[in-house]
Amino acid sequence: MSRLHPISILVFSAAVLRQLGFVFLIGLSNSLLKGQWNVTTIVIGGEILVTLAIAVWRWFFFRYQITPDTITIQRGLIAKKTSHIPRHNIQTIQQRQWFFFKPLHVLELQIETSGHEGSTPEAVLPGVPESVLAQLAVPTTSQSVEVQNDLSYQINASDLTQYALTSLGIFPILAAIFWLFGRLDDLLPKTWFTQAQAQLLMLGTVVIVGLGILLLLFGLLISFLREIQRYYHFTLQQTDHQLVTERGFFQRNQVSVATSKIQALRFSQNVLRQGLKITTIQALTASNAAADEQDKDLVLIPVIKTPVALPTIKRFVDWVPQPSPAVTLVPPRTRWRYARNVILGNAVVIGLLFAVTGQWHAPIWWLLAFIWLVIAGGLGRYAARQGQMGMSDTLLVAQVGHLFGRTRYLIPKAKIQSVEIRQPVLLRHQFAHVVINVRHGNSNQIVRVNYLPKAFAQSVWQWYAPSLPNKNLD
Amino acid sequence: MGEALPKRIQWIWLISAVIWLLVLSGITGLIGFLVPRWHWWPWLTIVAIGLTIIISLGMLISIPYRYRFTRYQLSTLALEIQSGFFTRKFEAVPISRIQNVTLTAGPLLQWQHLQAVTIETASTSHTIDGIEPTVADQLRDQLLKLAQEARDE
Repeated sequence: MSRLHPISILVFSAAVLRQLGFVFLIGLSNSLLKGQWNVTTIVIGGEILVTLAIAVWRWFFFRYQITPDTITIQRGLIAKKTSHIPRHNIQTIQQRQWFFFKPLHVLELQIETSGHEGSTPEAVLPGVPESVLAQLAVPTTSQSVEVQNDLSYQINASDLTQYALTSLGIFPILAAIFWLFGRLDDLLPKTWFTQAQAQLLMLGTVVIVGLGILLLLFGLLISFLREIQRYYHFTLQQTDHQLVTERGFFQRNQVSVATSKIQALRFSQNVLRQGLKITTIQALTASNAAADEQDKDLVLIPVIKTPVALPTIKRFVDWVPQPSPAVTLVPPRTRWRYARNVILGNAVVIGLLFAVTGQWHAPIWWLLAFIWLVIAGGLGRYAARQGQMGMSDTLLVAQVGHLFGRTRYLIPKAKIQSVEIRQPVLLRHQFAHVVINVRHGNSNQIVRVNYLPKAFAQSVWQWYAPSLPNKNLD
Repeated sequence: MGEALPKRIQWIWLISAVIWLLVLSGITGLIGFLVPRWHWWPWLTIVAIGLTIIISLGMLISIPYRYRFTRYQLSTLALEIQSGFFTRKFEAVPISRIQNVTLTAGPLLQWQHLQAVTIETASTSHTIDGIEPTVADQLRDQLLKLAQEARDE
């Protein structure tokens, strides 16, 4: 059994700070308010000491062992926990390397199995020497960048810029900024806040609007830089039945997954990217945290021109069909039903809101509700136009539209867990909904296309379960 | 085609429909109580009463039709479950995807001496509402045996 590299105390400290940060912040702001600098110094010193003490404690009692067959991890002294992970159960291996880890030849490892326990990886090794990777048969971060051949792909700068510009990631950032303002309200004394508010009011509307625009631009810039940081020098390569992706500027992040463990491929576009004809390709795997906190799906290619997406990914995943199988669309004469369903669903909620808030007299609300429903109906119609499905001998292709975007799935027949055909009783002679279930992370990904022609639904059933003749469907 | 469930299952659906009626009536009562106090839209109570009657009646009347449609079918390669009435649902689960089979019986099923069978795959679960306990045991053994064979191949 060996200990982690001492640099991992830093990683442990960061984790402790995340857990205790809020308590620390309250202590700090309280001491600041008292205005006694010696108290503040003692508080800061105490907080650093506590953090370091816990981190060193955790580091000291953390031991691991990697053999060709198993990975063993032992944690804690008071509550001792030992876990063993058999090598063949591993679904994905993730490496992260902060820029300050690089000169020390140390990296962080996260190992995922398909076990069901929680959303955290089964094994996290915050600082191990690069040499252990040889035992796990994955290339190190430094090795992989140089490889340039047919089995590797590297993102190009203009694609990445387009991708970062069309990210809709500004919305969560704005939400975070507003949340922070809300929190400030609790943390800072009331007098500061009222003073600031009074000053803002004096400055007038122009400045407030200006500030708003500034905030928006700032949010856009952050989301742009974050996407660039995340996918900086993104590479994908194949080494003996493993797909390895690598990305990141401040922290190099490498994920490897066996090709056979991929459950499905997902091609997604938001409306902006649909206009620019660029696509993101992801792999659904049977383990969680395959990528990172933001999206748990393994990104195989962050951005690529839509026409070359299939041929490019085929170089890495051999079951990708070329050309794509013929698909059946949602018939145009039934597309209005998508819009109707969305409008009805929204109308019920709006109706309830009207009834409960008592705002049904004011015309302005009726106007807003009308505009909302028109937009909802438009989105429903958009989704209907995107809906399609088709099969080849060994795989199924399906496309679904959703809020401001569309997603296309390629699913090998052998990875489909179950199929459901649903028939609305009044439309049972014409249409059917087809539901495909595929494993995704620790849960289920439903791929559902509504109002497909009945004959097509029958052919899906025949294709998936030929041993089950179905009188009601046939 | 396939197997029907024992006729007794209809009693359980009847009781569940009555339970639904009670729950919906309770919610309607609450709405009726709150409408004058919180100045909600006065017709909301009428709408709630109407919905309660329509939903409960729909559930009660559809029981015999639902029974005729609820079936399951087993081949050596796959299991099919049919259910529903307003939306007819056909589920297909290949034997090789089955991870485990669970038999359960809540108080209603125990009262009628029936057993529900739940089949789980790596990501979904599928339930046969209620069958004779002996048949359920047979079905479970058969499914697990076939699944084992499918895995060995």
